[in-house]
Amino acid sequence: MIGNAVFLLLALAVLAVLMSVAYTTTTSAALPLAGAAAKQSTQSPSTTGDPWIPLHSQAPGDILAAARQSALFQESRSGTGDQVHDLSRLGRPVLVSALRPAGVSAAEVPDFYIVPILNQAGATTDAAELALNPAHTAVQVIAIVTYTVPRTGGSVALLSADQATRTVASQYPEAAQPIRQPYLVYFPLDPAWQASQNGQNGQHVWLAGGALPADPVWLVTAAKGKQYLAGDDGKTYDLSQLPFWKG
Amino acid sequence: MTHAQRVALRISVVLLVAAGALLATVWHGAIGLTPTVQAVPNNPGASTGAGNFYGADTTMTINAIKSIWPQVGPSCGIETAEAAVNYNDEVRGVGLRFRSTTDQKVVARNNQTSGASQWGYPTPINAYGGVTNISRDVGTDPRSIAYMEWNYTPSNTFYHDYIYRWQFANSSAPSFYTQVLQATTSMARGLATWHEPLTSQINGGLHSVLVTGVYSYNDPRSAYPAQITSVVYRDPMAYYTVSRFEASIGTWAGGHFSTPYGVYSLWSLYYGDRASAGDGKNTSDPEPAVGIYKPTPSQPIHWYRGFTWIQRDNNWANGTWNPDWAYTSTGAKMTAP
Repeated sequence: MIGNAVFLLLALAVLAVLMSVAYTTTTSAALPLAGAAAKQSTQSPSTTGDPWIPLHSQAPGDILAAARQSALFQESRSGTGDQVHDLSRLGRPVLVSALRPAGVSAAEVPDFYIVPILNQAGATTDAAELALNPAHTAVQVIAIVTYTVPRTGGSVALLSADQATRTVASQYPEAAQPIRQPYLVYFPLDPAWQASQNGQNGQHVWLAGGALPADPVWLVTAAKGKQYLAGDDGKTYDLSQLPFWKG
Repeated sequence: MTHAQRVALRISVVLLVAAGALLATVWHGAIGLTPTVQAVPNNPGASTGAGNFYGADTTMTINAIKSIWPQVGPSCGIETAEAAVNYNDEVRGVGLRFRSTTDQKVVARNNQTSGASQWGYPTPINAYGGVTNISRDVGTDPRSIAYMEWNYTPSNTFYHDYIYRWQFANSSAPSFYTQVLQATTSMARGLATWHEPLTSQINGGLHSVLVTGVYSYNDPRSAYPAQITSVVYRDPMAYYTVSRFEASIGTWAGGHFSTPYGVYSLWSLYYGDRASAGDGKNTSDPEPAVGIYKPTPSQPIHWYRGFTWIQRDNNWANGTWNPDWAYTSTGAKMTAP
């Protein structure tokens, strides 16, 4: 009787060691101990982050379909976490072109499609930023940003094209009849410039908008090709006045 | 008992002790890394095809920041610390410690005379971090932020600076992207464990933001690196057009992120960098100048060539409550740079 119990105990001990080894192996892969080499996960969705998603066409439906393939559109958004909770209502994507200073590439400052994310009332509460490759054949969903105040009517720009034209024309009458349709732009704002201004007077000084793709402004092209930016602050800006980030 | 039975009994005892030792080793490592409060993702039953959110609550986050932001001058560290304190007050069900944008000036003024580290402070002091800095930072350095969060939260609430360098978790240098993913995973463990926002230094250390969550395909408390898809943060510069940013992991690691406050590099630069990863040319956020973390010829870096954040933890035993102490991303108390 005792003999059988001893050998049964031995069997259980062997089993315990095997199970411990298996558990240790699994856990070590998950928890890196100080000074030890960590095992790397091989399941990362991409080796550099965000994959490029091909666009079948520039049609709104194809742009939205591409956006929905991204990781950001496939996240579980239930619960009370600090997140956008509903991506089911999407507005019409808008093209936002980049104003690039000399020496800055389209890879660094790309053009974008902005997808409005709407609430039940149809206001834009958030926006998905879809960076375009230089050929405009693929997108990366690089961010979702939340507006401080929802924008009306599914828009992403604070002004309409007509309002922007009137704003510019009030200061430059030759812009009353633009020689091409106004279009939405953003430009890379120099953070050092902003910080230096903030340090001096304690206030944000660039209030004209256009510093990020989700907050675009209208570029109005007047006679002789002169271009003006219609700021959200009601002012008109010559492109040479913009505090560009230089890379 | 026969000889064979005696041998079998001894082998059994040895094997059971070995099994116990193996499990104890693993559990000890896990305990060292994982604070006692356990939490679950918002949607634990979701399929692995969807990233889950790990982090803080929306309403509580808004309540924590809405009366105290935006920052004035280089007060990002103060403002994110105030937000973390307010959030913890909400968790504890007590009144918010900070209720006005002018509180940042009060905290900055307090920093001029109290809160120095056990190692003192470098001179001259500035108008923001004051004596709470251990470096000649133009604003507040990570030690200062850890001190403010500890100082203004109720008793027995502990915060420390955590530092990721690839050497803490690897025998050879992984790709920069993998380093970011590993560091973000370590940061996410704090979010997943405490469900409170934390302060993260970005843009080469030039700026601090309140990181409120991450999305990940798997649980960052058990996966390393986790399959993180995005990082959610609030910017103390904010209250102008955009209030919350959910940056994809590629953006978080790659930078070139256009914001209302300029183009952010996020974690595409190490702490202490200015233009490219590893350049160490950020003169606004230097290394410690006093104390045990001051670089030496044999250990020339502390914050540099790594990423850092300040989070709540349970490190209080044996004097480790002191916010002077920094911890590695793997949970070890740092006793040298």
